[in-house]
Amino acid sequence: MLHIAPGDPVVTVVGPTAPKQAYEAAREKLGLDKPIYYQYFKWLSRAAVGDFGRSVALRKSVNSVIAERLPITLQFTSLGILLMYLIGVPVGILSAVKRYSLVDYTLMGVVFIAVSMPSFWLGLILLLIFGVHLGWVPVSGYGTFGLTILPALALAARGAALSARVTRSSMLEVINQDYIRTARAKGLVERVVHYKHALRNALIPVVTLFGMRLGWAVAAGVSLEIVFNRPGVGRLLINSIFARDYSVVQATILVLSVSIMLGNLLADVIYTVVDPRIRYD
Amino acid sequence: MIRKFLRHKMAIIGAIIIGLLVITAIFSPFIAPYPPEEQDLMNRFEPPNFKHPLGTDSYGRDIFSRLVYGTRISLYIGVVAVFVSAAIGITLGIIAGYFGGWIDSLIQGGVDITWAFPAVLAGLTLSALFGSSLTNVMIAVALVYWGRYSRITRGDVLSIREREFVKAAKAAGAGDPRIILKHILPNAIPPAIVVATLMFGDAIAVEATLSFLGMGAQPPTPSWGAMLSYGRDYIRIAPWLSIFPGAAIMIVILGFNLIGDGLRDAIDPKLKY
Repeated sequence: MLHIAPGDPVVTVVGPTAPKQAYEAAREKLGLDKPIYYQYFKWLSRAAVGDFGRSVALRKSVNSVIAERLPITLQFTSLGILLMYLIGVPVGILSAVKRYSLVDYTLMGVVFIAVSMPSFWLGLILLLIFGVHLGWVPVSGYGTFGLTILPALALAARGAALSARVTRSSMLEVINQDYIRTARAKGLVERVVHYKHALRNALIPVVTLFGMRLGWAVAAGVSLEIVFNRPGVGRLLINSIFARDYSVVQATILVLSVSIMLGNLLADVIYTVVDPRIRYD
Repeated sequence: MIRKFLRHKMAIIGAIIIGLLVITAIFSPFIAPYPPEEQDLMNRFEPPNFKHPLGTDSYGRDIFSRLVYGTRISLYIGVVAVFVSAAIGITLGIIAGYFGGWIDSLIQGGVDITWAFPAVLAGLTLSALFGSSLTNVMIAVALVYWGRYSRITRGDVLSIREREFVKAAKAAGAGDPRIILKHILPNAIPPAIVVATLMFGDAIAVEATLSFLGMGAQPPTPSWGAMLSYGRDYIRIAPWLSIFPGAAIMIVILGFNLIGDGLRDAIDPKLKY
């Protein structure tokens, strides 16, 4: 499928001014002289055993390129996803416990703005403040703490805001249930009621939405790697699309899709832990 | 219902924001002080001032004028992508909910696939296949977001199907097409409208992200996302190139989210989407 795209990977290898013989030789070496269905099935049969071929632009095997880049991506995305919940859930709880107060309205106002903010723009603003103005972090690169926390924060903001909203509304819903009234009636302290009885039930919808958040985080991660110049899988994908480096494009899209699928599977498992009423059998 | 919506103050603010943006898009040539692609190489990288309220870029193009024309692109993408995905999603949702059986399982399978798959990744795949364009952005959004409508509509149809008036129509001898068009569809539309308003913001965000990545609108089109991507290169010397287009994107998304929330409270407070 990728071969309908305009552009020619052979030119990437030999350069636009190469003589015709060199071009033909390179084309044959890359297997691009064979019919497309043949190329595709060859790719598929190799991919099935974990061999994604070679990158024409980087002149390395795709496996080694992805192995090199994947940790750089995982490092900040996993921190970002963690922050999403570490920030979002407490904010939602606080808002629900102090419902219809100034605290609640302020938090929900901030949340509303955070939901509407594109993460790559937030990344640029953070870079502008901490990189250009304060000079605390270099403007591009990776590895240092600052350059991991900034993209992680930019990634986390929208998800945290959405989690806060869901946590708040489901807490409010749960607080009106009969079993909460029972818990209060038997003389439990308000804190125990909130955290032991209400929160556990209120977290169920938060977990349900994990799968959607993850897919979104993967996409936002790609744009943040461009903003922060991080040489991760996302930037690899974008550069490979520009370079018509098909084998890398196919492999990175596959890796990202599989990680989203695995994340959803994980969400289903966590779901049964949080809510023992749910069983998959 | 309308009164309930009007009581929602935030929703009114949202409606005003979007109203102003629609006016801006329609009357761009009258609002923008300069043509969006007019270069003025004597006045490159001007910070915001009286002549150029939001500054100029490396070709001396007026940022405010480019943003004004950019509203057209964002709203256009939003409208087309939302309508196409709504049309596909509502149709499939009604079919799934009304007929059930294997066709329902098939459609639900499709919904499950699109549910967690990000539209941006779909857009990147399409650009790798067919090259970058705004058409691909719209196709990507439709490919992923139809599932949102489908899921909501299917659920509604399942309950509408059991209601008295549908049974009455069936007893009176109405055929499936008539029942669907006359009785099911009008009742399935309002919840889908809520999803549509919330999707508007998402669709615009997807366009901005893809254009930012260089896979959507191509220069010199004044797409906000493309302007941001260009601004990133000059963030040290001309931060206004990145600040304002991003703020514009945020305001549009905020507007649609405010309306969507108000509509949701008015139409169906239980709806979570």
